[in-house]
Amino acid sequence: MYVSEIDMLSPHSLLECLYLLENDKASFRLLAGGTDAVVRMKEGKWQHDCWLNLNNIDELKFIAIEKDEIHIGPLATHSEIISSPLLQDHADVLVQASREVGAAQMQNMGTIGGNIGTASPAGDTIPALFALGASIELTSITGKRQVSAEDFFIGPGKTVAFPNEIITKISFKIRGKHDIGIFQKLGPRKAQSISIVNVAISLSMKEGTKECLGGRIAFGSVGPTVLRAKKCEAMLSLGELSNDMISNISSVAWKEVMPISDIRASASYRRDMASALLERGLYRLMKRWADNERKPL
Amino acid sequence: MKENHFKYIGRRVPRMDAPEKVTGTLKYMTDYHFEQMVWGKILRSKYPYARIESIDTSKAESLPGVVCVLTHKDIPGFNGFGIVVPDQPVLARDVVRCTGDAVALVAAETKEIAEQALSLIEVNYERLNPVTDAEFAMSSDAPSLHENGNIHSHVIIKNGNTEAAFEEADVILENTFYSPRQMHAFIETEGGWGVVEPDGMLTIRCPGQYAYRDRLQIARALAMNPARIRVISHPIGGAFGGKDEITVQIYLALLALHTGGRPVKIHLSREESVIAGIKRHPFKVQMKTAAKKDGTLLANQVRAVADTGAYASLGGAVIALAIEHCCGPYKIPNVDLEGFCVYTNNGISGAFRGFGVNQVCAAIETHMDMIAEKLGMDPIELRKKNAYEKGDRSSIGHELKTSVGTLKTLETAENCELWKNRETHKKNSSEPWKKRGIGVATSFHAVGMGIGLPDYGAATIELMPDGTFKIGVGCEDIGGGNSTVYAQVAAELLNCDIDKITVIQGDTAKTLDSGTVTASRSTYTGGKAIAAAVPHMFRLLTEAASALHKVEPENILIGENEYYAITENGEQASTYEELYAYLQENRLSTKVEGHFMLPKEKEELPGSGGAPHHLYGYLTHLALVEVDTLTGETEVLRVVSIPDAGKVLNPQGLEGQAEGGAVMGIGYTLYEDVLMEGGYHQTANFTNYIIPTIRETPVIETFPVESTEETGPFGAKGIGEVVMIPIIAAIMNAIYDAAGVRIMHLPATPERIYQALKSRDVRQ
Amino acid sequence: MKTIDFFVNGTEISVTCSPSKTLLEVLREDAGLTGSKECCGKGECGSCTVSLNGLPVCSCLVLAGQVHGENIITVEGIGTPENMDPVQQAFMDEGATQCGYCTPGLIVSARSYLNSIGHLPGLDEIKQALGGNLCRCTGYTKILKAVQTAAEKQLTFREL
Repeated sequence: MYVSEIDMLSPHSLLECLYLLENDKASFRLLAGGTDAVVRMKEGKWQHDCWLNLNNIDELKFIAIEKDEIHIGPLATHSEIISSPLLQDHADVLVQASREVGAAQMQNMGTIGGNIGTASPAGDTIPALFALGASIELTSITGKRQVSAEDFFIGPGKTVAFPNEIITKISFKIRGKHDIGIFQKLGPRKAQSISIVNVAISLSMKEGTKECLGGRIAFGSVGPTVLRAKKCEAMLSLGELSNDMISNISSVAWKEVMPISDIRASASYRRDMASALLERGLYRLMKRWADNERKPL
Repeated sequence: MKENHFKYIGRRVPRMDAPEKVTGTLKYMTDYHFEQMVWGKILRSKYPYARIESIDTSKAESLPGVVCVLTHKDIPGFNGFGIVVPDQPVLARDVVRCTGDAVALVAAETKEIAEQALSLIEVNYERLNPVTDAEFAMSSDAPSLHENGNIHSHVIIKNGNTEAAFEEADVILENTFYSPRQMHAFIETEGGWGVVEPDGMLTIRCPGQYAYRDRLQIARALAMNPARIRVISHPIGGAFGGKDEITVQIYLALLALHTGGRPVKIHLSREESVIAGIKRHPFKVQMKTAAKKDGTLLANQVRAVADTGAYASLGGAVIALAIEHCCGPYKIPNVDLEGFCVYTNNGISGAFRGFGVNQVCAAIETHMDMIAEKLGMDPIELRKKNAYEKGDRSSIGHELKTSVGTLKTLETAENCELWKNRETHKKNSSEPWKKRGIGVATSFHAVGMGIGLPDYGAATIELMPDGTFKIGVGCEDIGGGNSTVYAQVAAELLNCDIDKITVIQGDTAKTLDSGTVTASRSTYTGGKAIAAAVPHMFRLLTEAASALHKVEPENILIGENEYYAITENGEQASTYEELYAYLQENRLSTKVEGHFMLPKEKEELPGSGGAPHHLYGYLTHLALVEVDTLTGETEVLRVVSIPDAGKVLNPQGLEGQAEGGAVMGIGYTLYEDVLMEGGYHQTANFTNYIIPTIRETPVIETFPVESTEETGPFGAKGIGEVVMIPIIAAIMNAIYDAAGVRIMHLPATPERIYQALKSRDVRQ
Repeated sequence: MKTIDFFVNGTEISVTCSPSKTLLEVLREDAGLTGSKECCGKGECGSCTVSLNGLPVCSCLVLAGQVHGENIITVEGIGTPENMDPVQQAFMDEGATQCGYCTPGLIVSARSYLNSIGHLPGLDEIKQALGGNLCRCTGYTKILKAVQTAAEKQLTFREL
């Protein structure tokens, strides 16, 4: 079969889209930004009858606040996330992670829903969603369900979504002034690179102190899916986050990951880098916290 | 600075081709598209080493939309190509020696159909164990990949007595260095189109670095009179040596013979380019260097092994140049140097900016840094102490007869801000775990082909009806900007405005053979050839003016943009248009030629494979780096490039070379390597072949020292290659200065630096 | 095959092709606009950069079926040799093009970026904006300078 034979349908509403997914006999692939999907088509990995182009479904494009929750539509592009004042205030870790996805051209086309759906263990936005405790809404013609980000991914490229479902919303609780986050990435170079290891950190701080009330740490590219570092998280609230404490917490990180060796790095280096990035991230985050605390309001 | 009394030479003349390039209007060969065109595709070998048992093309031929399917049986002439030894089959017959080997060709109505047809060609292979290590390839256990064994070439240079020198030395260093398989990564992948014209002429439009030689290689494979073939090889979307060898020209030619006069286009995907394109030779360099307490270098012993992959291409010349340059621009009295160029099943290596010198410079300049440290000497002082000057004898034992700028470049390095304030710069690291360091290295690179190879330039100047001059030079502009330099030289010498000059390049129908665009030679060669043509144009126009005004030629003066006749009625001016009209009316020639032979050394050093060269360019680099000791990441923050390219003809062009070379050198040192396993490429495309982006670009300053070379055009030499050489060792030395680890296996990836830091910490 | 209507450089065009054909191929083969180049085909190099509704994207990863009704600007729509855009003029003056194959993509990225800001960008900002455009010849130094020069001119012009 030739690539030129792959057809495309462009539904204008979610309902129309779900109906097609449910009832049509053709094999579909969803097309959002296309930054991964088109590559797969070109590599011959996908041989489907028809694209389901989601770009005309305006109801999937939003970044909004509803009561105490942030809601992001799956078609929000990385650029939209980066430039959203709402997310800059309430999801700094996601904004930073989105900034690390490819370069401007990829950020303008690539969507958060696509990044989630692709489910790459190296996907940059996924650890950030773990750190935010995000929930993913899946919708089919028969109904909706909520899955936490941590339960959503099964393995490389594999998620719990059924073929008749699509991602319709990403949501997480709004965060206060004392909730701070950071995303750290180690890639082969600064721009346009796939993570060797990345980490998203989200902390709740006690005002005026270096004490952490709790937080989440999630690593990417060091396992079949993104991994929470629960041992490290448990240590966050043991005492003031001094430089010594930061290195103590970081020194445990390598135990929480299960990387493989590939063309980009060896497993042992990745294990060590989990610790290194956590240390660097916590240090930078605490420095920012201290600098901000010093700033007069 | 001396005052520049030239109108164009030494000026920042903007590139002539810029308006077309910045607006996207310039048509590259791969931009052409015709309604009746067919697409060509190449079937590459499935295995790195195998015997071909059979090839069945019948299914592919019967696929609707397929125009032709060709195999080795369809080659009318000689089934081989290669610049020096034609050991690479055009289409493999009985053996494949790398996954880049071409086995069959398809032309079809669409690219998709052509691709589909490739998958329908049935090739039965008997797999053989690939040879993937160059040292193993040289052993008696390895199967012979070619008739004469796996050692393609072996070069030796010996001087003095190294054994005795090592006895009396105060410092001896001995290390092994490994270098990566760098990819040219030109932005335009190999491609172009071919057509048999209505009159039977075969036209091949394909970017290359030597149209005339490409034509010969095509003619040999087609058993066709080269005069019936026209090759157009310019413009080019980047080359760097990677389009010096045949890329797809012969495939275009073969297919064009079978498409009934329809144009056939090939444009490789990046993935195919990675597999089939040549690369920089990975080297293993074992070096033992000795010095006295006072820093005087005593001896250097080198054994370098280059992995040329399945075919020679220019591998023999690369190892020869490496050995010629492996002692640096120094006078070491005792040397024992040996190089091997070895066949394996690891793709194909060939020409690449620097041509073997990059790999050996990394070794000698690391040793220089280590000697300086051991002796407590300033690293620049140590280099100055050992650098040769014009008239001195080099390490390989020949007398330097042309300009040598090493000392000037080192003095400039010593006095630049970065070096003078290096202790302050080192303290400014941005975070506690980041360490800064500064490194220096110096090197040189031959200009021209060396002994035993033809090395000449030729240019034409044609007066056009509109009073402009058309300059024709065979040498292509592969991006370096020689077209603008040619226009500057021509305008300066002809005494006309530069907008009266047009330049054509790289077309066997319109330009004379002027040799390759390699070996940093095209400014020097083309410039001199134009200079050789100018007096002929003067004579032509003087004679025309003299006839026109009926005065003796002695009474004709060459003015700016016009000629003056001193007549009884005073001075009378003639414009170029008027002179053209006179020549035209009288059926006189309006075109002149200039020819130039590059000066060479008289005697070859026995066993050296072409050394010494007559002319060299020199350069010193400084680099400031910051190493993240938590991760091993290195960032190059500042680079100072101090070239001696002789007289600088266009400062903007020179800076462009220096900046581009520096960033390519950063890529080589820190990021780039085409990884192979068992003869298969692990690196597929730009997703995992990492070249520097604008975000990796440091502040780069260029301070040329101009050691005028009397034989060159206006005193110029060459610059294209040396700009990326010493920076490699400068970064390696800066990493050591910053973090205390010596990385001798490039690229110095974060992982390699991190592991080195870790094992150093364990040792301490 | 589908008929796709969209705007290229301000002119509406209609193309009948497979909806899975890339925008880059449509521009180069059907619209005859060969300024945009293919170099990697995977969105890694930026040589194919065009502006899609004002934003730079890799046209090698955009499918024809996605651009129906959309607005595309290619390098050809930014300026001509006779009437260059300030970005193009600055690339020429500063010597920011060598082999030139990456240049059209860079021009589109730089123009789109400068359109999106109202201040004089710092070097780091320009680096961030152009991080997706690979160049192998220039070492980027003159590209940075060219974008700065163009930004300065543009700002001065706006203030007038």
